[in-house]
Order: sequence, then structure tokens, then C-alpha cells
Amino acid sequence: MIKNALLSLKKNIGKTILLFVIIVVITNLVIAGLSIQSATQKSMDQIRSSLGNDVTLSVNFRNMMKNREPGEAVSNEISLTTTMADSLKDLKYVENYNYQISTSANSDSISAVESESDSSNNQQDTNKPNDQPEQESNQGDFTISANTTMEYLDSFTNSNYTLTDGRLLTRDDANTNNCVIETNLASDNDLSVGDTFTITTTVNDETVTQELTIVGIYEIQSTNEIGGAHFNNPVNTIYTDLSVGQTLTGSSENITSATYYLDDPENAEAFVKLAKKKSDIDFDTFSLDANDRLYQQNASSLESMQSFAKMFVWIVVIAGSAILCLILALTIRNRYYEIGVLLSLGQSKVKIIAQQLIEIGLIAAIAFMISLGTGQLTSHYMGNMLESSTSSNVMQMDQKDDQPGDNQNQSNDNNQQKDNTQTKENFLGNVMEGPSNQELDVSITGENVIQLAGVTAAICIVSIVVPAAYVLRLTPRQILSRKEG
Amino acid sequence: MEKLLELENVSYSYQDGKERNQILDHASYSFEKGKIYAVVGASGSGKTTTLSLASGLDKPSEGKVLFKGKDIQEIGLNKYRREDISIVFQSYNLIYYMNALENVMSALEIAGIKRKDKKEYCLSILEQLGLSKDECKRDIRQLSGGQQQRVAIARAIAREVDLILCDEPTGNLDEKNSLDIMNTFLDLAHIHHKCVILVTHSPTLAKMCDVSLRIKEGKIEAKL
Repeated sequence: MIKNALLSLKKNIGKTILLFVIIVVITNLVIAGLSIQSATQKSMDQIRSSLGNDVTLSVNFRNMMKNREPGEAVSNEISLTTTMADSLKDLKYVENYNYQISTSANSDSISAVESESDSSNNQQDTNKPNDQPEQESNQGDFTISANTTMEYLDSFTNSNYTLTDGRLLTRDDANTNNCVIETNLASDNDLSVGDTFTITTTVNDETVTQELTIVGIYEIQSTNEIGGAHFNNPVNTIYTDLSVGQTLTGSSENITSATYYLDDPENAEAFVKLAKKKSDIDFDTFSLDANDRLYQQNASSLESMQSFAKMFVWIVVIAGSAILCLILALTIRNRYYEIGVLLSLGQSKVKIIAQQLIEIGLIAAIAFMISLGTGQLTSHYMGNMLESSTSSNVMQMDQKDDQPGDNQNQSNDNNQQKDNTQTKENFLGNVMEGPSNQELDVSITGENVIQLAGVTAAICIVSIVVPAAYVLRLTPRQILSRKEG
Repeated sequence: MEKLLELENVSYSYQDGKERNQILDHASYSFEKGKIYAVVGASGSGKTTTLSLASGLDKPSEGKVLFKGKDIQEIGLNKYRREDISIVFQSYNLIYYMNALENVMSALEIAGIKRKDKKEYCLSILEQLGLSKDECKRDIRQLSGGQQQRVAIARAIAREVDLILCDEPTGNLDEKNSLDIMNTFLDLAHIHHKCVILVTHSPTLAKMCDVSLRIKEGKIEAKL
């Protein structure tokens, strides 16, 4: 069969070359589409990974603002509870979690670090890290960030804040008055690990006093984060156990947010879906944010590129198969003769189709190998072309995003979420620039090669079997008489 | 003489628009080894249909075709064509991308005949039929009609089957070539004890055969 296939290819050199050229074009386009698809997927995965594996449950102030009547105040009564947060902590994908209470406090025993911008109390601090809590209504000199554990806080995990002395708070510090403070706050007040001080706050017109023991001192590495009003200046942030926050807010149930750390950043969407399915939480009032807005901002152009690449591959595969089928259907008229003769000699139909498959398979194998080389060039060319068209779209979209109306929306956003997003943007600045502004990595992967081999094989099988099946449904006599006719 | 092929109440009809054409109507005949049969009749009388049914290229509407007493449909039409018979066509039906030798050798391969001296064996048959070594390796389309028909006959002989069916094998050939080829068939029947059935329009060739059969009104009649 192989010998006969080779003889046939050699004798029909014109048709062989035509099929070869078509298959080379198809395989080049397919591999370009596949590599763009996998490159965009890779970039999207990178973005998702860069955004971290955390999903935050908090009050959806954005939605509440949207749903309120004009002039109506947003209710402060609505609060996230530990019961709600607990309903998600044991779900699939969750590896760890942290509940956080953000509040403020004053102190008679220590003084806050002063900064020049303290006069401009209303200034928005856009440089705070995501785990830096936004202070609630009764603003004191100190921001209290009460957490179940400090182990996963972004500022510490990404080394924006580094521990200079002592240790961070863990679950073992539950129900203790241990705290971690900033090095400037410590030095201004001549405090060190092991020292104690008191903070005060007012709950229901009653003054609550809490003694805290310093177990760790941290330093802020990024100088542009330091500054702002007392309560907004991250150096005045005191990290405590969640129980301290509960004492200071006078509620053992309410928390500001719950952050779930997943086993894999790629499971963020799956977790959100699962949470919405399994829990009784009203997701109009509360939101589960997997940094979706930031992800969408950065991945939207990649998503459109990926969907284009997917559609492109399908079109090429369908059109390629159709063109090959057509050519083979037209040339199969010439093969009537051969098929009829082979059938009259007793050759089985399977072997007849197999020989034709070998013929096209040999052509496709050479085309495939050539495509592995030329496909890289095609991929780069198409990748650059798509990138330039999508980046111009993104630029247009960015310009629209910069319009004042959007800023208004942003300011209405949940403070915690806004802060989270802004900090992520700073932190991820370089990473985010990567996929959208740098050249897409369209190198051909092993997976692409396997996919291309599969697609090429499928095209070959379809283009041979369809026309051959049309002929082989006839009796040998009918085939021979048609050929003679 | 041993019965090799039997047509048993064979009928064949086909639909032509609204009309149904009855080509064979419960036709029966037995063919023996060592004899050469001519099937004659007017155009459209059913000569080629008879040959197609006998060679398993088509199936009868009714009745049976028996080879060595066994229904060829039970044997399997493909297997029957591959192992038990050889067919020679008017238009030679050679595979155009193979040379003469390759055509003969491929027939052996399809039949599953394994010989160590396959190439020499095929060459010797082609040479016996008057083709030179050079002609055997030439592009098949560069051979004359007579030479191509000899290749087709060589392909039929090489398979060493008992039954050779020929559909107007000399239809495209001149008189000299026709007679040469006819003599080959006579040798196959009388010397090699094959059963040769040939469809022909030529009364001269029909007279040279042992039995002349006429298809008339769907029946097979022997003209002695």
C-alpha cells in the first residue's frame, strides 16, 4: 500500500504539489491560531496568578450605591458577619482564610506619627496596600487592622512591609492582646517588642480601653506609601488579633471583610461560582471579589484575541477541510478508474481508503514538519498584527475609562475594594504591563504540535473519507461503468 | 467435465426512470473447466450484465451464482474476486501510475499470493505474451492498445485462478492483435484447463470458442 501510495504521488505530481501547498497553508494558519490561543491563555493565567489567589468577601457598596434612591444615604447597618464568612471557609479550593475588622482608635499612652499632609485630612491616599484597612466613620489617630492571622496579608507576603523585630500574628494569637506596629511608630514612642500600651475608642457612647502588647515591629519598604493623615498614614496602623477588633467595635459578630486564599489562582472563578451556589449570602448586598475588575481590565484584550484565535482556527479547519474535500472530490473522478480496478481485483474498500489516507498522510507529514518551522513566523506575524489592533482598541477603551464619570463611580466603590484594586495595580504594575504591552509569547509549544497533528489528521481523514465514501457506496460495476461513461 | 460456475435462476433488472428494465429473467447456465465460452447478443441484451454477475461485480436481483457449488455471496464478493477469478476488460483497466510489471505484481499482492520470485514470474508471463523487458517497465500509457491488453491478460494469468472472465477483450484491438489474444485464451482453456468466458461482438471470435451463448429475452441459450 505504501509503495502504491508513493507511486501514485509520484505519477500525480501536479496534484501532489497542489495538495501540499494547500496543507502547508492550512497547517500554518492552524498553528498560528493555536499558538496565539495558548499564548493568550498563558498570559491570562499569568495575570490571574499575578492577581493572587485571594478572594474577598465584603459589603458591596458599589451595588448599594447603585440601588439607592437619589439623595438617600447608604445604610451603615449592613455588615458582614462571621457566620456568613464561616459558611465559605470550608468550601472546596479554600486553603486558608483571614477575617478582618478595620477600625480606628486613639491612645493616651502613645502618639501617632505626624506627617506634613496631616493638614489635608480629606486627601485620598491611593498608595495604601490592599490589606491596609480603610477607616470607618469614627476616625481616630490610629488605624486598627484586626486579623485572624497576618500570615497571608499582601503587604507582608509581597515584602512591601518587612518584619524587623519579633514576629507576625498568627492563629495562635487568637483572643490575645498581642499587636504588631510600624517601626516609626515604635521609635517615636520609644517602644520595642514586649512593651505594652493602651488604645481607646468609643462604642455606643462608652469608652472602651484595650491594652496591647507588642510582639512584632515591621518596616514599610515603599516610601511612597508613607504619608497622609494620621489615620491614613500606614505607619500608624496597628495590627491586632480579630478579638481586639471585636472589642473595639463592640460586636463579636460583625467583621469588615473575609479573605479566602485558594489552592490555585485559576480556581478563583470556580470558587466564586461554588460560593454563590452553596451559601445563603445575598450577593446583591455582599460581593465576592477575585480582583475581577483588574483581571478584566488587563485580560479583556487577551480574551478577545483568544476568542478570535479560536474562531480563526475553526474557520481554517472547516474551510481547509472543505477546500481539500472539494479538490479531492474533483480529482476523485480520476480515481474512479483506479478504485474500480482495485475493487475488480478484490481489493477491500478499507485498503483502498487506507492507501488514499497514506498518500495524503505523507503529504501532510511533510507539510506538518515544514509548518513547525514556518508556523513560528506566521504566528509571530499574526500575533503582532492582532496585538497592534487590540492594543489600539484597548487605548481607545482606556481613554473612555479616564473620563470623569468613571472616577465618580470609582469613588462610590467599596472603599476596601477600591483600595485593594489600587494597591494591586501599583504592586502589579510591571506584571500587568507584560501581557498587554509586550510582545505576545507565541512560541510553538509541545501541546500546539500535538493539537496541530490532531487537526491535520482530522482534516486529512475528513477530506479522504467523505469523497471516498461517496464513491465506495457504489458497486464495482457502477464505478467502472461511470468511469467508462 | 467439472462444473466451475453456475448461474441458477438468475434475474437482474434495473430502474430507468419510471420503467423497470428486466435484463436477465431466471437465466441458468453451467460453465465447465477447460472450455472457452463466448457470450454474444445484441447491444443491451445483457452480455456485460451476465459477466458482471458472474464476476461478482454486481448482485443478481434473484437467483444465485455458484462457484464450485458455493454461492459467491456466501464466499464474499470481494474475496471471490480476489482469490477465485480474474477479469479482463475491454478498456484494459490497468492502474495508470504503475508500469506493466507493477500492474501484474500488484494483482498478486492484492490476491495475497506470496512468491519469492514474484518479479521474475510476472516478467516471464509478460514476456510470454510478447512484451519486452523495456516495455514491461515503461509508463503504461506509452504502450499500445494491444500491449496494454496483454498486460491485462498477464495480470489475469498471473493470479493462477480457474475462471477468467473477459468483457470484449479484443474490442479495441486490430484483427491481428485480436487473433493473438484469442489464441492466448484458447491456450488458457485447452492447455491450462481454465474456464474462460468472454463477451464478444465478433462472430469470428465466437466461432473459435467451444460454446457460444446468446442472451435472448433474459435467457441464456447455447448455440452449438
